[in-house]
Amino acid sequence: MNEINVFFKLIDELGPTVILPVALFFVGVAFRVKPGTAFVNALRAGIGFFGLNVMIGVGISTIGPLTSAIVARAGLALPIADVGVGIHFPIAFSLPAAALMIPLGILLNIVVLSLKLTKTVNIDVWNIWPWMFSWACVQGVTGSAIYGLLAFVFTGVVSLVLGDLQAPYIEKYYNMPGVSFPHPFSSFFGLIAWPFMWLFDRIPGLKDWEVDIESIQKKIGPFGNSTVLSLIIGFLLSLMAGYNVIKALQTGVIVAAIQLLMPEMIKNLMAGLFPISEAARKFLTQKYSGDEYYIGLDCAVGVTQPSAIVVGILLIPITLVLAVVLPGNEFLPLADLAFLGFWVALPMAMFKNNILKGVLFGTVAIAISLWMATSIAPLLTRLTINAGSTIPEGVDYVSALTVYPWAWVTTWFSSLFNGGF
Amino acid sequence: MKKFRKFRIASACGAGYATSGWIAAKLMDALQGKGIDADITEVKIMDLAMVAQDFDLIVSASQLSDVYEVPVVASSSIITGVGFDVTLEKIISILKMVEDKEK
Repeated sequence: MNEINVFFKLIDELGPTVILPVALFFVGVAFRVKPGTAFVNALRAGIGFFGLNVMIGVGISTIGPLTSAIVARAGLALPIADVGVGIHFPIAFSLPAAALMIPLGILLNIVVLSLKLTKTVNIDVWNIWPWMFSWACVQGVTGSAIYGLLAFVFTGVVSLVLGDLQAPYIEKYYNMPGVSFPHPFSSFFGLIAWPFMWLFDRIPGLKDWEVDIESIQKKIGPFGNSTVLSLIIGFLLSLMAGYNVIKALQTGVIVAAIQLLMPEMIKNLMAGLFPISEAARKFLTQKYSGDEYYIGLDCAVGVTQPSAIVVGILLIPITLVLAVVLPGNEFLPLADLAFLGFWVALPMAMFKNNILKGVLFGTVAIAISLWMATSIAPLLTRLTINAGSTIPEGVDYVSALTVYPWAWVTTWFSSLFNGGF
Repeated sequence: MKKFRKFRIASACGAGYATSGWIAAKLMDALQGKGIDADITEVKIMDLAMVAQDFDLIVSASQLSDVYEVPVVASSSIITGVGFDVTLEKIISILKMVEDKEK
């Protein structure tokens, strides 16, 4: 018993920056990756994890005080800072079990396939990480790895099953037959979009509303660039916070830097998993191929649809206004404003690429995300600190607009038995 | 193909790291196998409008309208493997056209 305690104490002391690469090395070797290659890649994942924490630290120490200053000066009751989608990864990858997420996720996929509950073969194994994020959140609330695993299983199964049901829309309106998005983000908002699809078809005028997407796309120009956009938003919000122009410009550049550099860090973390995921993909495509299966891809594929790009940009001002007027919201959107296309990645196919329907639905979907980002903020803040970041004084809570919905659902459910988030 | 400057290819997806990174890695392998030298950069789809003219070719995770004055190839077959050969041939023929144009 004593030895076990010492072992867990050691794991705790080494922390995820060391444990993650060590665990990934052994998983890689188990997947018959050459030890040298496995080592280099495992190390790269550890570096990615560290880099993410650095970037999140920069985000918290810039966006946190900015948010607090706006709250103090403009009297907005939105004290929760949006440090962006990157907040998910240190939380998900801080559990040692994260090294096993790909084999576990594939095992689950195979079980669900053999139970005939799904036809989706998820070859996008990198996106098993949101299942892991659900695990980390639920374990954070309940303290139990078993409940965490249940949240992992739930997120995976619900995404695979919904992926099947939503695939016909992808075939019809995105012209991609045999493809599904078993993605925990799109599957949730696809589910929410269903009643709206029905409703919108019954509103006269809305049904046949058409617009030349390409001409809008051309006009957007540099404002459609995520770094320029982040600079402008960061600058304007800094002025609102009462910063002088020099500090506002500096803040704008840092917000733009986060936009560009965060994905670079995530890329390193991903690259560390590459040999494992390649082996997994090869195995899956050999074992499950043919017309009776859907190939499961990332919903980011849908975001490249011109209609989703345009809606994503139109939703930016709407999101900012919504944050101010929505009752119960305490979250100020900022770092994730460049990702709004994701809310409609799948629904645009369900709405036959109708921009107006996309914007109307997007407004409702963003409202849901604002509430989720608000209510889960205390937990995310605690888990972010656990994963190795520090929160400066005067900053209350951090969260992200992109907070993964099934993680919120599982966390909410488990919090019913544990007295809140 | 004879020695020519490196081709510049943009790999675009919604977030600019996951799917596009995967496409870039697979395409790089395939092009190297054919002796073609290329730099492949992952780009967030939103940012494409500004940087498109810096590239010879855009491969996009799904269909993309041709508003960028740069040839676009849909790259989902690179991920799924179904029809990859056809896509690869198309990419190579576009790169050849780029080369001929500059000569």
